[in-house]
Amino acid sequence: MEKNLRRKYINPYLGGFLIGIALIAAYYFSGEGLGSSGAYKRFVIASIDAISHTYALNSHYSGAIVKAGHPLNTWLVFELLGVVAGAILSAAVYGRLKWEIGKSPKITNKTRLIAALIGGILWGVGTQLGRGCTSGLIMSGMAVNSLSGYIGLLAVFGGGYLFAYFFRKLWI
Amino acid sequence: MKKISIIILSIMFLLGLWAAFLPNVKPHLEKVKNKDLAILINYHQRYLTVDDVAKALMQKDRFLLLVDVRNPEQYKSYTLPGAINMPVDSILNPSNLQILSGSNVYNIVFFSNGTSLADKAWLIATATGIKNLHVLKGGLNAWFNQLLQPKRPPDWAKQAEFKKYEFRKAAARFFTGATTAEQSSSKAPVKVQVPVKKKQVGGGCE
Amino acid sequence: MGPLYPLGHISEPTNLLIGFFIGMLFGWGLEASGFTNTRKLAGVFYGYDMTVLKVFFTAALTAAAGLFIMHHYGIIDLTQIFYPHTYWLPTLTGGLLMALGFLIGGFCPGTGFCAASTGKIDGIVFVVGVFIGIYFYAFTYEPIFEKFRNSTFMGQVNIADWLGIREGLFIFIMIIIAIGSYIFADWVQKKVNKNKSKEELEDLGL
Repeated sequence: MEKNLRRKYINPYLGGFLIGIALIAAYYFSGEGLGSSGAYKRFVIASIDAISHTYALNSHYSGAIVKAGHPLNTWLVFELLGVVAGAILSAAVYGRLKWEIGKSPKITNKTRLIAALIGGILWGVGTQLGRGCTSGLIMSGMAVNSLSGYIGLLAVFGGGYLFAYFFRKLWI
Repeated sequence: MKKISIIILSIMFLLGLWAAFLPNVKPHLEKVKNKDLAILINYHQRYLTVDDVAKALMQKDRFLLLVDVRNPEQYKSYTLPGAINMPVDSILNPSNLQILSGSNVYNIVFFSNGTSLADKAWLIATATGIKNLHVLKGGLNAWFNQLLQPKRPPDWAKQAEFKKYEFRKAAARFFTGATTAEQSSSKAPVKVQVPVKKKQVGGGCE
Repeated sequence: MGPLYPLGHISEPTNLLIGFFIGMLFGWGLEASGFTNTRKLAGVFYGYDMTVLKVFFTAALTAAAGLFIMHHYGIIDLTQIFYPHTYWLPTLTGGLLMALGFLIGGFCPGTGFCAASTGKIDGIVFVVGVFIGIYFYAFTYEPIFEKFRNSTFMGQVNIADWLGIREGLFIFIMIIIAIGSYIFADWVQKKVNKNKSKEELEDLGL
């Protein structure tokens, strides 16, 4: 029974519709889009602030945020905590809470983990430079017809198809 | 295709069709902007006093960006320490807008001889959607008359008045080069209180 | 009328609490769609699993149409929400870095966080990587990134405005394009997966 449920995912259009409702709710209640890189940024700034308040205050990267109050006291951080709770809940319901490494069967665990780390680093820099990630920049941007969201869409997905050939060994 | 896919895609299609017949969110961009501007114009926190700016300068606040909106000749003959020149008719130049767009990080303060030219610059820049800009109240006139030549308040004045007077005396020494930064700041310990506007929406992932 | 928090209808703690519950719905949607499975995410670039495209476009465009309609009937005021500024070159460059990150790392920050919290070790490593990337950016921001990040500022640009068509029509066109792309994606997926074993397809939950 569990084995069968484990790979049962909901209808993609239904999944998208649910996320769309969450996005509308985010704008309706809080005037914000859904995001995650913004919350990552807050965690980083909070840690820098905890180690050296003066440095955080004087850095152009974090100064304005540290000045405005505690870096973690922001909507996006609470939203991301909710994402964690929602994901765990859903995984528990479908029996997917399990330690494992997702990868193509043709590569080793080590390759997969190194690739994940490098990919993460690229995302870290990319989101800060590009002002958001797939959710914060593109999805939320598209929901309000922002040009920046569509530029992000073009860059991330266009770039993805452009470079896909070079990394095919990781996946197929 | 499954039934649920068809239902959701139909909903999406119908929503799109519905949306296609509705007018724009901002049908008249100017009108909306005027409405916003009317609110912002009454936003008096945009004014900083000469004391605020002097304090920030004496504290070497790295987030202070002074913008002289007078013409280049006036700018060359005298300006505030560290100020950049951005004549009021050049504010909409892309390079200048780019500087002003840093207003989420910097405290950008416009100033001119009086208040009105800087106010105009503020209005032009704010109308483009840049928020959190400031204006130096009284401009350079106030800078000279109130800050650099402070008048001693009458004996019966409030304590705060005397404190302000002491600060201004120290500031005058600081800016006319009579004493060094260390001395003046030890004489007049001041705390930078550049008002930070309470932000309403968090600012997304930016 | 919304947005409730920016217009002062709900308090800050309420707003944060609501944020938590909205996040839960978002997290549920991502997990239930299979986005903690890195192979499903990367599949969109190789044609063997187009779920990402379907979920993503459906979410963004349903929200776009919904919000736009709600605005017209006075349920939400879209001029009061957070609206991103466009800096086209840094966003394009950052986006290309993200594309590489997607192909190599197999997650994006949101899905990676979901994967990490549901016990996917590659997700945990990915999230650590994102933090390393942001620390690197934070400590080299002023010498390397600051000037570039703030370049090519365009203000708050609406893409329909920019293209010169009505917003509702733009949303409708995008929805038509999306539905067309779903049909195309299904065709591609079927073609790519023609010779795959049943187990392999079951592993992706197709």
